[in-house]
Amino acid sequence: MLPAPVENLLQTIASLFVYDAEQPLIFSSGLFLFLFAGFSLLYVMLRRTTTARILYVIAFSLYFYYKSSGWYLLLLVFASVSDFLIARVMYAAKRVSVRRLCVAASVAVNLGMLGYFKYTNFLVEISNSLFGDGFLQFQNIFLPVGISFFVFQSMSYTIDIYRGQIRPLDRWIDYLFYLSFFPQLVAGPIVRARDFIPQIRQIPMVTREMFGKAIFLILTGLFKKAVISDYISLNFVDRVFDEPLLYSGFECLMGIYGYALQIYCDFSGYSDMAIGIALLLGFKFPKNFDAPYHSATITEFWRRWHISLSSWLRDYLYISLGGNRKGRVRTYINLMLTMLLGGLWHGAAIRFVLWGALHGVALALHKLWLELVRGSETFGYRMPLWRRVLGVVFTFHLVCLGWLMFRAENMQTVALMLHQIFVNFNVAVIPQAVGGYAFVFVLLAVGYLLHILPVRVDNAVCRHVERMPFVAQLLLLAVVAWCVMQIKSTDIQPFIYFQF
Amino acid sequence: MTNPPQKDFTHRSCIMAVALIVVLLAVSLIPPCNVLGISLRRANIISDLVLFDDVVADDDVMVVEEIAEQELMAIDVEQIASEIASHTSADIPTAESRADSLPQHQAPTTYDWLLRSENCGIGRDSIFARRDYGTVEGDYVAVEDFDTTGCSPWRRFTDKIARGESVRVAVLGDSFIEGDIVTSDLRRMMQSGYGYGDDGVGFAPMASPLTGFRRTVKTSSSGWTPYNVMQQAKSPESLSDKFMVGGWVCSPADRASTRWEVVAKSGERVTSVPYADIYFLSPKWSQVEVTLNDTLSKRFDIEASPALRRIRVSADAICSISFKTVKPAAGFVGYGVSLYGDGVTVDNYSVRSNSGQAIFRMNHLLNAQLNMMTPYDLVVLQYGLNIMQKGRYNYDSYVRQVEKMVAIIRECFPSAAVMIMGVSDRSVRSERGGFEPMDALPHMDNAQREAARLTSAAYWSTYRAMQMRGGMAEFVANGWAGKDYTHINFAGGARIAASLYDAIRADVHRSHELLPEKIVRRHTTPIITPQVVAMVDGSLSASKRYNTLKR
Repeated sequence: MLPAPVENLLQTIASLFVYDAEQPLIFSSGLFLFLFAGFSLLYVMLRRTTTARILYVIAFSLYFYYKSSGWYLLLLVFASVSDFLIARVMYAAKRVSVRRLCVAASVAVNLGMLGYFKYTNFLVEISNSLFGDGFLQFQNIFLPVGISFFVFQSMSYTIDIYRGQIRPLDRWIDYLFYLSFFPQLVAGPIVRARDFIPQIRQIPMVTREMFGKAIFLILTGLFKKAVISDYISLNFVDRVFDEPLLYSGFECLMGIYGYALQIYCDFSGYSDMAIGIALLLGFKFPKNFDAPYHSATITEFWRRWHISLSSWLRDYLYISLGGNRKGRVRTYINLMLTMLLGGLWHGAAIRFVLWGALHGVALALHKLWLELVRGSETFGYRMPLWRRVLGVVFTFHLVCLGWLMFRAENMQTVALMLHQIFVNFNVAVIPQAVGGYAFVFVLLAVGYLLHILPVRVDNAVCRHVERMPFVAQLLLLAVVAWCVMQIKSTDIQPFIYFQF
Repeated sequence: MTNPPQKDFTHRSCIMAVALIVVLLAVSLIPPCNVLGISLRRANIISDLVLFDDVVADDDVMVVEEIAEQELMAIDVEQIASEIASHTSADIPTAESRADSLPQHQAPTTYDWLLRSENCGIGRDSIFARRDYGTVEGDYVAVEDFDTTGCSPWRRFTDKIARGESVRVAVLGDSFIEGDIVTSDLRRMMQSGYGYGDDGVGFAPMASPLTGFRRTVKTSSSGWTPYNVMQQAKSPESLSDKFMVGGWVCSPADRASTRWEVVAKSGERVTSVPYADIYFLSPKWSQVEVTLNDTLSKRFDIEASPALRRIRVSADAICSISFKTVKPAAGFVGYGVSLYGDGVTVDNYSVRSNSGQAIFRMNHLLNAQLNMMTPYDLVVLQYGLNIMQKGRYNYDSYVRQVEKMVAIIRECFPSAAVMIMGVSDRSVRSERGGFEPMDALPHMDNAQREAARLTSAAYWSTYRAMQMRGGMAEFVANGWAGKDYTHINFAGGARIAASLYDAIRADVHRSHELLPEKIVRRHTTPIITPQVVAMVDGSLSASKRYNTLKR
């Protein structure tokens, strides 16, 4: 018999390894650090035994997914079996019609899964609003984490084979490895099969530069995700969007700027960590965010924002719809359709569709502008400085308008936020608001300042971290981890209202 | 010449992860500390397994209480009582007939504008009256009445409801109920249970920066400068002694106006009220104008007086009412309007950042004059959030403050029972990064209960009611509360109102059972015309409703 405290401790430890819907495993958690330490030890030992290493990584990845979505990991396994077999049949088929049928089957299976788990209740809601409440019953459907990502990854594999750009994998475990690889599994980036597959069977090789860059990406990712994004969302942005009328127009505007920073830091921070962790394992992923708020046009924004998604939508949706090959009108229609569906990919609600529509219209208008106005440019670096600055400011605010629609629960909240900004701005509260939410505003300033810095500064710091001695890198990581824990355990900022 | 093969650093990932764990384990041993005024927590990497017994208290709220403690010493309830007694009278004079017992200039005066048609009054015996005297099924948090004399004010209140009489309730609170949160749903439930289903929306201030947040009244105002009782020091000296129970005073520019519109909740019928009472002070002669439903206007010449003034409008259906200062005098002060009906009235008097000390800063004479005009049957004191703090378990000094608050309220509103509505649930960060109820909650809950016991008031534990619904963490998870884990929203307010209504309902049921003669309201056959129905219920067509009633 073990003493009770030891028994309790063991029980607690055991419970940590079981799926808990309230606490999905994320890179910024302490548990992940412990798991990664254990995982990487055996990974190094197995690096030269390819099959064992692949099986080992698959097992860890599936466990990682289990910790996020429980037994829905079987869905991931199913997707891998389905597309692996379809791809084999498609590749072997001689007739185009069979190949078409295969790719259609792959798309149907993948979109069917995505549609059922993500959009069923959205369709019920639309039906009920059209035909009256109770027309259809809402279903209690769990949304498996990362389904939107691995479904898109899987489709890229079968479509690339259909297009003859890659040949299918010979072994199912290789495909499962690609689909389940834990760094990018739950929140991207959406890694293309053609970029990833060649790396699977290579013996992992981490150079000093790769290791240093990985540390730099994990550092910046942690800071962006777990310090800036988590703090400003909980302590400022969420509450402004919840009740805009309790805040002045200035605070509402800062709430929108805050959300623009929050969503960028959250998304790109997690992507950075994923890319960094993959680098530590010897895998190279393409860049997913490239200082998107530097964009001087909306077209440039979509070349810098969530690059793996925008390029996926371009290559597999826009081009599949005909792209710009079927006349001007069809080009604009294709653009709109791509952005509408891109909006819907982000979430099952009308507001995401409207967000996609806004970007679709903006992209279409900019395309028209490029055709009609001589000397107009897509990229800021080709513009004179004054036009670039104006373009960056305009594009940023257009994107912020989109974020307002993206974040607000409904259109009434959008209207209230805009009403407060344009009717009740209340300049007098600025000093009080900045003072009252001092740390929020400090983080906002730091976040935007770091973002504004030229890319060469970013690269220089990255190279500096690469060249740092191990101990210095360790201390840097420890300092950022300490900041994350401080933010995680610090008391929430109480509501402060300045509109007296 | 070939480049030398690059060194492989794959193994460094593992070494880095293990080294990082070692460093962070060492860091976990550093206790919470204060560096350059910044409070730093223990960064515990193994918080899932091992917790340290750290207590970090927040000192900010203490300042608020200490100020209140000083104020407390200077407040003499007996003096307040004698002042009120010497300045008030049992009868409320109108502009035409004044109470003989008071000097003319000191009497609170009502200016009537009667527009209600004779056959429109929906009397107490109308079939529209709702009577919900049933028992409460399931668990609920009961009201604890500490007056055991058998004829306590709380019992008087529930008896009155049980007899089918109209009641007025004032809820004084902090930002927890700001914007008519809790009270809007409590009002709706009480009006549905014991009123006429649609008895108005209660008090709305003349102007405040928060009027847009309130959903039950649409207020549009211009020309007023509002001041809050919690910022008394910042308000002009001439106004600092003019704060009434509402907590706001509004000073007009040359032409100031306010328009209030009763707002129906989405899906509910269009709302109107039969009565609108507009409150203000006019120390010198002034002229004001009131407009009913944006059509009918009347000007009132207001005689000079330091006492509270009221314009009472009664009409068949007041959907909106406007108030304008035509010739405002120096020192003119606007308070607001009460929009109410024949049944249950619930007024929301919320003042943020307030633990009840606002009561000490009010003009008690004005409050007493208000009560003379419209006597309250129940005053609810909802405070505590702004005084409670993590790691603090002793609230004896706050108990003394609450005792004095209750005493003052009883002097100002002698007709009313007093109920202390206990502190609400509040979650704070746990060491693990999650959320847990603040450790001070049971202590504050007990302190407020003790204050109720010492003053023989009634007590209702909001904390327990919220715990029964899963507590603050559940409220936030369900979208019923804000992310500060302190303030609820309207959805959360509806849940708490339902719990409070259950508590009231249970006691009303008991009162009803114990009435000497059970007044069971029989469905008499009143003369109901479709026109009358249409006036009361705007959403149903009159003929349809009429047919329904006939069946």
